[in-house]
Parts: sequence; C-alpha cells; structure tokens
Amino acid sequence: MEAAGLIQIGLQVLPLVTTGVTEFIAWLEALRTNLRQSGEWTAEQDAAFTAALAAKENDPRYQQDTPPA
Amino acid sequence: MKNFKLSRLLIPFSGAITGIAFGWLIASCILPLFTGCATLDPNADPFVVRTEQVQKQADATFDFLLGVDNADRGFWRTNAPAFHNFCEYLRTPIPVSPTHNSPRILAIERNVQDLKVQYKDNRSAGNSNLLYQISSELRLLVLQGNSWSNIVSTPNR
Repeated sequence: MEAAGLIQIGLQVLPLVTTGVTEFIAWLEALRTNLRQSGEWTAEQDAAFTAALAAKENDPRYQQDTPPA
Repeated sequence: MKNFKLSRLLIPFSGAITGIAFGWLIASCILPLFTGCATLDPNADPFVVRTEQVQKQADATFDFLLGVDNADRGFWRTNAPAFHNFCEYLRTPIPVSPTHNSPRILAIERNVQDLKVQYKDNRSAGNSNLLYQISSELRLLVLQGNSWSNIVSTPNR
C-alpha cells in the first residue's frame, strides 16, 4: 500500500522540510491514522465527513486566485 | 599523537550525536513498526474500507498542498508554476447542481462520498462499478498530489 511507503519517505524527507512543517507532520499523521483503519465508517462518521467537505467550500485555501483588477 | 583517542574529539558533540543517532534509529527502525496496516474487521467490506482510506488520504493531502500554495501564492506562481497550476486546477469551480458550483477537488470528493453511501445502502454491481471508477480518479489525483507534497515542502527558499 502506497501510504506505508509515503510515510517512510516522509520521515526521511522531514528533516529537509522548510515549508509547511506543521501541515507536513499533520499529513504524515493522517496517513498513519489511515493505515490503522480496520472497519467501515459509521453513519455518524460519514455524516461528519460530508459536513466537513461542505464546510471547505468557503475555505480560502480552496478558492481560486482573484483575477487582477 | 600519543594518547590520542577519537572519542575525546567527539565529547563536545556527544549530546548532538546521540540525539541524531536516536532520531535516526526511531525514524528508520522503530516507527515503521507502528505504521503497519491494521487487520480488517471480518464484517467490513474491503472495497468500502479502501475507498474510505483513499478519501481520508485525499482530504489530508489536498488540505496540505492547497495550504502550502495558499500561504504564498505569488511565490509559487513565479517559482513553481506547474505546482501552482495543479492547485488552481483543483480549485477550479465546476457545477455540482444547476445553481451551485464547487471547487473541483471538493466536487470529486463529494461525489465519491455520495456514491460510497449509495453503495453501502445497496451493494449492487452497478453501484460498485460507479464507485470504483470515481474512487480510481480520486486515487490518481492523490498520487499526483503526494508527489507534489514531497517536492514543494523541501525547497531552499
């Protein structure tokens, strides 16, 4: 599974990371948590994920560049 | 060179060397032991679990990538236009209903989520095929995103 390989690469790259260190570690942590999933999400987890996706619609990270005036 | 011992030269650095050695030991030997795949529950559908893993991975990867790009869009636009264009491709609004547009990556993630819930309700071959197609698309984007994440987080700025 590629996530396991990505974690190992990420750990080796980690000392070199200069941009977004916190986010990079959060990304590695998410991959690690991901690998530990053993069952299907519950209905509550599905609903929470859907709500989280809807909330990102207004997240500045997900907005396109504003065209020059 | 009488009574020369290499270890004397290393004494001032012994703390740092120990720290580096310990960090290397953890990174290369111990951590991989804790990152192995979990055993699947007997009642869980492997296809659903795999799809959910891709969804979660996509969520983390695109939050990270778009966050890095958003932190300094001007820098990435000038110095890594391919990366910035990839982020803009993910952000491009596409119609998800007659009255609503959504950033492309969120629309794809939402599509996977909806089809997965539909498949969980009715595990037919038709639903399975649809879910497989769209989750494969998402997985390809995640793989591309993962490549960018390792590239853009280690430049010398």
